[in-house]
Amino acid sequence: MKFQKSLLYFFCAFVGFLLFAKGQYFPLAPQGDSLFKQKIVLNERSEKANIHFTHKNDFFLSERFIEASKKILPFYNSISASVSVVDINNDGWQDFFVPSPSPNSKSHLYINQKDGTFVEKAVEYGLAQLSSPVRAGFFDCDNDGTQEILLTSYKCPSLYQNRGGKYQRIFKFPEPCTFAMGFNILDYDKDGLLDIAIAPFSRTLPNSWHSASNGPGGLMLYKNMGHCKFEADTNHLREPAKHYTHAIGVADLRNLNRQDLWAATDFNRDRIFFQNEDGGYSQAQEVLKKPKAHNGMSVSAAYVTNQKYPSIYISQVYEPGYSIFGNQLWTFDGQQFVDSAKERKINNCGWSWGSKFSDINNDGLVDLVVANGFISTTTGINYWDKIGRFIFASKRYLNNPWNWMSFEGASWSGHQRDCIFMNQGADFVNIAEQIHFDEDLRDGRGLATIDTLNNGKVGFIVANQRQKLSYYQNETESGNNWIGLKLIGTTSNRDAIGASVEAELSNGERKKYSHYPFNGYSAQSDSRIHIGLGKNNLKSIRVKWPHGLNELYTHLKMNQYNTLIESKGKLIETLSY
Amino acid sequence: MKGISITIPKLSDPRFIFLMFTFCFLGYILFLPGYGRSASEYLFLMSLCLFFDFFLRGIMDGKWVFPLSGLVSAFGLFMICDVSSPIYYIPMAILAMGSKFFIKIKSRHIFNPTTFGVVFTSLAFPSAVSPTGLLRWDGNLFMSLFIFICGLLMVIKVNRWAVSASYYLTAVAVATPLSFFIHENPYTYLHSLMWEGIVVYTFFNLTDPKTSPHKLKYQLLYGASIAVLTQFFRTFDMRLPEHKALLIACFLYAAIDIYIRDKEKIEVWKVREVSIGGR
Repeated sequence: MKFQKSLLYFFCAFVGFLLFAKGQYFPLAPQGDSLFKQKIVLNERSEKANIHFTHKNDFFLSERFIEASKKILPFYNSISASVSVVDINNDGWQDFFVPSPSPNSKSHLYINQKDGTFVEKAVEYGLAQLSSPVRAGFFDCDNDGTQEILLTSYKCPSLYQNRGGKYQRIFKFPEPCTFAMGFNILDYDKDGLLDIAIAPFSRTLPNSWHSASNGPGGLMLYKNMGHCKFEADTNHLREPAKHYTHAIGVADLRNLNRQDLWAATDFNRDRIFFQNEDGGYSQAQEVLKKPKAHNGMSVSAAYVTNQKYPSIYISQVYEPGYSIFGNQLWTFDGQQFVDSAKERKINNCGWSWGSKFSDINNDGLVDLVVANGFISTTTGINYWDKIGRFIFASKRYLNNPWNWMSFEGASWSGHQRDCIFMNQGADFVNIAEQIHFDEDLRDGRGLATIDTLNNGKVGFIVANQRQKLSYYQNETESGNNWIGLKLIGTTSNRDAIGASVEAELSNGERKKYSHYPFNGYSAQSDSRIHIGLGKNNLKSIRVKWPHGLNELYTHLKMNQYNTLIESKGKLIETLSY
Repeated sequence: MKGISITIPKLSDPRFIFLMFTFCFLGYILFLPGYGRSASEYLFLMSLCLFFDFFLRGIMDGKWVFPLSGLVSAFGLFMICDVSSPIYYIPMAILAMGSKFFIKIKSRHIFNPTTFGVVFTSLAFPSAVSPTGLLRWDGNLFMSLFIFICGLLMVIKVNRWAVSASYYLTAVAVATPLSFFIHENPYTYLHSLMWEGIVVYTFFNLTDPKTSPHKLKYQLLYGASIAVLTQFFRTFDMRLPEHKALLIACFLYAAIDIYIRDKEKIEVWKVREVSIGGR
């Protein structure tokens, strides 16, 4: 009798507990979807804009050695969709390039027609048939006003230059080199020439889910020696460890006018490299509180609120029951980095990839868009269910593709809806479901911002893996003010990469932005700085140019793009590095 | 004035051997780069388990017993589960220790508390609790060997070696032919058996003297049935196959024991009583 009574009590308590748990934690849909008051309109307009690009990646089918691991081909071919926004013809309107790595496929270059439509002109520019391209970075490596292209591929990266209207290869990075999605462009030595930070990913499989030690290599710096010739610079950074790096972010993490690096690392902890006074880098792992998640995919940086230090957003894998920590938002507190993604409600976005901060409604608060989804199929087979069969195998065993369960027909965190986190000040609210964002639930990778119509309404392009590209035009009528800035360096690098901007508003508020268009995952965003002002007017803009000039610009025109040229503003101070 | 009498285990209690290993493992895993959990989180979970073990026993049984079981369960829970926030250690500890005092047959708890806590917390909070925490052990075969030796000493001491042996042998015997039907590399499961976490499970979770059979023949059957159930769950890609199999086996054994009376001579931990505050 005593047994039955106590069991009854326990059963009642347990049922209550399950009901509590169900109500509180089971809903996987983003919380508070209907809470955001303002109407946000982001419409998928690829058809209307004349964009017809489907990413193709069957690269590994053509590789003989991979015959042995056919069963995991979808995994191998799962990370190469990228997009690069660039004003390639210097007409003041943003164009974009999308590479396609399959041997018989064509990369596309879309030229902005200034009316919301694009025309595809990759053949005219000599960019249609490239050798297994995976990611392109447009930057001016010789400061001549035209954009060169860093092109990573399944082989060594190459540099292309526009010669007589067509792009031609002018430099090939020396061996050893391998497949790389993660690179960033910066002028780390402040010599006025843009350099490259690059880290390889791999065709091999990791030997651990959390502490893999068999990646293809560490982070490398390539110094621009002039005339777009690059040399590996091991004096400034040397990382012998072997990692799987998806993305490299650049930010002034400690507010010291430095260009610190954050490497989003898969199967291990992220690595942080602080820039020293002499321009060199040293790894600063101890400042990152013991991280829970070890699937870093992308790095985006922004001043989320009016804080002293920028915040770093790291995309991660989130899957209930398996990988539960989600995305992170790290901010330096003077001694170490503290993660506040959960408090700000931006930690849950499925299997996250590209992420980008941008002020969608020009209210003065940066919002956040995240692309997600890994491998989508329609068979109903879920690879998460299969993973339990081999996940506990030892290190030696895990990195052999023969030992993995077959991916044939399986979905792995597929059909996920991208996230649009609107900034409410203290926290964010995901309105993706509310506005039917990404109804087709593609597998997003690279995500870039673009203001196609130069009207201050920043939209997005999402490069979907082996699927049709998504182009979201921002049609939100916010009535808020904004200002756009195109920075042109003279003594600094011409693209002004590394510049930081502080806008002073009529209400006395100051907003900070840094210019690193290559942050994120496998994407290059609109090269102009866009600042939402809310209902305020603009008083002034202060620009810290990469080379050290600190200048003030006044009498700028709101609600349009302004061109700011280095040394044309009112000099406040010259910072020395 | 009457003092409080607290029962504390004797040093010959086999759980002390387990605790000794526990702290070795704890030291090891906390320094692993991929482990992702801190010592303070362990202390929090340990405090919860000690609290619930001590007070639930006091309230339910009217006895104040040093909560050694709480210590053991805390390690098991900490080792296995990733939690998105330490707050989830609270329901985990309540479920684990609660199962010990509320779900009893013939005055004996029937489920291994750690297993009960792991399974039900992760089912209730799939978005916040993940039992894949074992992955963070790094897949080091030398560590597996060390745990294997420690485990072997332990099961010989508590007279449960047959459970572990039977589990291992049956698992291999069933998994090898089964792998051909489910299109799995036959070595995959053998490798899984060598994983540090599975070795701990085999020697420490399966062989809980309070919930596992006493007589040799029943131990052999018990270990074998868990191995078969595990393979069944794995075949259908169910989460937590080992732990679910153990829970079911515990329940079935407790039910069958009503008739077979294997636990008539129930093992009792060796204890001594200490009075505090009496005059």
